[in-house]
Amino acid sequence: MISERRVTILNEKGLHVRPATKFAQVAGRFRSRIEIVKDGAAVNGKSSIDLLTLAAEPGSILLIRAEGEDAGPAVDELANLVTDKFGFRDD
Amino acid sequence: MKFTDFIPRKAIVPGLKANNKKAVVLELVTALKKAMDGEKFAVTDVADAILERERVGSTGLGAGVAVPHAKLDTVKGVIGAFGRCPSGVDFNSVDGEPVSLVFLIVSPPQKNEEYLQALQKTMRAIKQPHWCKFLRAAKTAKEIEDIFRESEEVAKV
Repeated sequence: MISERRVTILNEKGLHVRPATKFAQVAGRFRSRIEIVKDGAAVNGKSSIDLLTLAAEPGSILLIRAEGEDAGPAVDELANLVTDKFGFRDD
Repeated sequence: MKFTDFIPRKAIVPGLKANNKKAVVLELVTALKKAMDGEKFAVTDVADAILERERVGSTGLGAGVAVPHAKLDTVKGVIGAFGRCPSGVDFNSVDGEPVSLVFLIVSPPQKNEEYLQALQKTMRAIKQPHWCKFLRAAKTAKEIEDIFRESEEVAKV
């Protein structure tokens, strides 16, 4: 099963270390393979190192793509995380 | 953004003496201060800000790499230091592994885009096959700087 969704980075400082680490942590809870695509380049959504290679600034559009048995819930939760500014109130 | 744009040669410490996170940060900020004549920041302010940031979550990203950092308006641009801990230091990393390669980055809040590019540069480099191995094997600051320079050509994509 494949599920995907487009999201916009809303937090002021973009996808820096703390959000990338949080995203990778949450992604790691799912069994599905998770990829993040920006400007045509796909990286492993479970690796904060990979996510930081995107240098995703505020306003960047990312495609979250999951493939596996829990692809749907994975994309739901990860998209919400991005939209919720990664749950950080100070950024 | 190139490594040599934000990490001056004098801020490369091939063998850190420090054996814990706090001391590593202090040693690298001290090296950075010495390397940056034009910057007026106080070593303790920067070190404190970086350690404060570590408290909300470790910047030990795994693979033996850490990127301790802070945003301070007392610096003019994105600046950094690099140090190696030959025997590894506990950084409370995401994978629980000790850290041996430390990229410390300080930037002013208004240069967020450049800060993200410095991170991008670092992460692309550490993902290159064998790059970290070469970095660990280099003997001098000059050799480390050469590895930084060589990575500019590969990571242009």
